Amino acid sequence: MAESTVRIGLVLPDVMGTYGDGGNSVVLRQRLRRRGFDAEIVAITLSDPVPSGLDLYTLGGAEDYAQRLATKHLIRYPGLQQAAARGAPVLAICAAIQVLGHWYETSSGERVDGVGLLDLTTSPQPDRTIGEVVSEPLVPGLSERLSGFENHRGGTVLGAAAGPLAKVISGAGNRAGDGIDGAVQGSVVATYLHGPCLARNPELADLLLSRVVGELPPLEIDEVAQLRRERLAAPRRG
Amino acid sequence: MITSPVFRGKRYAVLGLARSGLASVEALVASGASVTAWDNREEARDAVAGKAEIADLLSLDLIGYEGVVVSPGVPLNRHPITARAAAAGVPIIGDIELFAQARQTLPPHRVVGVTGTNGKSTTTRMTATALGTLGPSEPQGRRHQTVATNAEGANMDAGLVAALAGARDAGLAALEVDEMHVPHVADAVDPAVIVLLNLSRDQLDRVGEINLIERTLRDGLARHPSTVVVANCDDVLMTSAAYDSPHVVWVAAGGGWANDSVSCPRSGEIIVRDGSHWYSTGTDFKRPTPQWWFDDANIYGPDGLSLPMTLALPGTVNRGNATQAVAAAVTLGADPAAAVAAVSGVDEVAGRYRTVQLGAHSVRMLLAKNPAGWQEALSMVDTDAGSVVISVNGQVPDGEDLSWLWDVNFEHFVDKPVVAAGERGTDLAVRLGYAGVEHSLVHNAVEAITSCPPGHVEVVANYTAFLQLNRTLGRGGRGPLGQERSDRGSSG
Repeated sequence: MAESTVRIGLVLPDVMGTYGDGGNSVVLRQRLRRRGFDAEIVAITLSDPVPSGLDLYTLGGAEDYAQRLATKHLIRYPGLQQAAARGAPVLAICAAIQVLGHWYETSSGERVDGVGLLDLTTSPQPDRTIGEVVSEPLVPGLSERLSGFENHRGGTVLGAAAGPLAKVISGAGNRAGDGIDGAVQGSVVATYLHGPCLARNPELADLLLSRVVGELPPLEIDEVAQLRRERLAAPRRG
Repeated sequence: MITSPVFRGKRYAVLGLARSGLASVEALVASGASVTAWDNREEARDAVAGKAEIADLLSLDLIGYEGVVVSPGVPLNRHPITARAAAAGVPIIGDIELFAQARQTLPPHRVVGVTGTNGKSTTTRMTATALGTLGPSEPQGRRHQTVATNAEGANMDAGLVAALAGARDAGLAALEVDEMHVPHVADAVDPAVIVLLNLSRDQLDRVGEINLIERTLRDGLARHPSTVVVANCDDVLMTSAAYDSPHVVWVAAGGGWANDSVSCPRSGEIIVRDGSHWYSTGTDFKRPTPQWWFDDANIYGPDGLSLPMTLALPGTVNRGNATQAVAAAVTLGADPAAAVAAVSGVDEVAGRYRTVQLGAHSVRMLLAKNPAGWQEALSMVDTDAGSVVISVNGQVPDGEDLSWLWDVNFEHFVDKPVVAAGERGTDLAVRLGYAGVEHSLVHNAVEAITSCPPGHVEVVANYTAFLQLNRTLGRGGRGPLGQERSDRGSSG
């Protein structure tokens, strides 16, 4: 793959980019370019069908109305599902977890059918869970703690086919009290962590990239290491 | 100072002694009430010594108190005072409710409220200045040119009582109001005019989602049908908030940030944009025809009004703010030409836009708090003029979640080295690194400025970073900048 340009799909940034999650695609592209790969971001908006031929995909958070528009679009143009079926990595953040599940209930109680890539469902929690999160990854290939900022009302429950991404050390994760964050199923990795997630967790970025281009040489960025030290030590307020 | 016989002989507790709490203590004591006050900061308690009894309200029996006045900065949803007050059957109120109680005993006055994500302080300052042109031609021959205002860039705890203290004699007030506070402020002061500027994502961890804010504004305005709403029809969300009001003055004040209104706030369907026009595909909701608009040279208004407008403040966004301020003042009877002249002279708002000298550096200060504000601020940064310092904090008033840094197009500085500063300077440095922007990281903002070559420095900072730096520069650059917290009522 390395000889051609790696194409990173930024899925529906016009409706699913509320919390800077578009940054994940920038981190992926730059971590490839710094190692000599050609890479580009392909933004897929509500005016485009979703292509199935990109190398990996990222999806971000959204508010209720926007989340519903995104869900409808992804079901109408199932390029993402086709790409996942052939093993293309997909990173789904926050509301995107809910969109990729079987269904989610909005804060007003309405049940919306999801894309069905992930064996999970989401219902509103009594209170929004907001704050810094630290978690311990549970999947092979990740050894460093994950850091991020969560801000969601929906509480997600995994089915048997989806495994958690991480055990929560501090914060709520999928649902307050359950002690786990995110979901991993097939080539899809999902988490409630903003920050953006990959800016704070370069090991996860490189894990996703290695599934596209093979093993990567290390890329140490002092400021990223410093950011991790600062955020992993930051207390959760409230 | 507001004094009112309604407070005489009553007992109040005041929690949090920043500007708002202090003004409440002074107004209550001057009105003949007895006050018990507390703030976790000793120097704040010292400021009310001799006026109020000092005691920690959490160890006090609150039975018999008329109310607990709580600073807007106190998080009531998780502060123990909420349960203590409830147990004693004492209501928790804000300074605005105090004002509402005193209102019927005060001389008549008219209030203009200004709200929106960005431009509140600037537009409030411009509105106050424009209202100041209302002269002796007012009813009853009163001279109304004194205008009370809180345009200090600290709308949450600026203290509406402190601002309205001047309204006792002024008869006119221009108040910047936090978006979520609009309903209860409107209920308390029954504003003559509400100015709606723009809504976009801002401090999502503190304020909440944007559609909820629009609904809150819409519901609040519905209770005040006689209020004239001066609304920006280029902003989909503000248009929705104003759409059902019987008296709306539509202003094309501009809207460069459409990313938070791809979906219709009234139907959830897509908003289609066609040049400056927009419409919803889900319901009968479209851009109204503006009565006021502007271009690079002029301001235009009803009945063919056209006047040259040259502002002291930079940026297209401020021309939009000025147009809304003029429209608000004209609604209350100001002469358009006088109002335009007044807003044109505004050259600094609570330290923003001003240039100060710091040793061998001249420093121009810009404030930006969220992606839409940054987009505007970056367009005002003069990269040819000298160096660029960007300072970012993540305190509660800023929002602790700085993910929005990735919604800002810092690739703008790809040919210009930037010094990253502030308590969360590392977050910014990582963002700049991935944007391919050459940068250094100096957390202390004063040291960041002095690290630049002598000459001009453009500084962009977010909320508490701006307040800290503004205060430190006011002291000639001396002071414990790195350790200083923002000036808010502390009570937890």
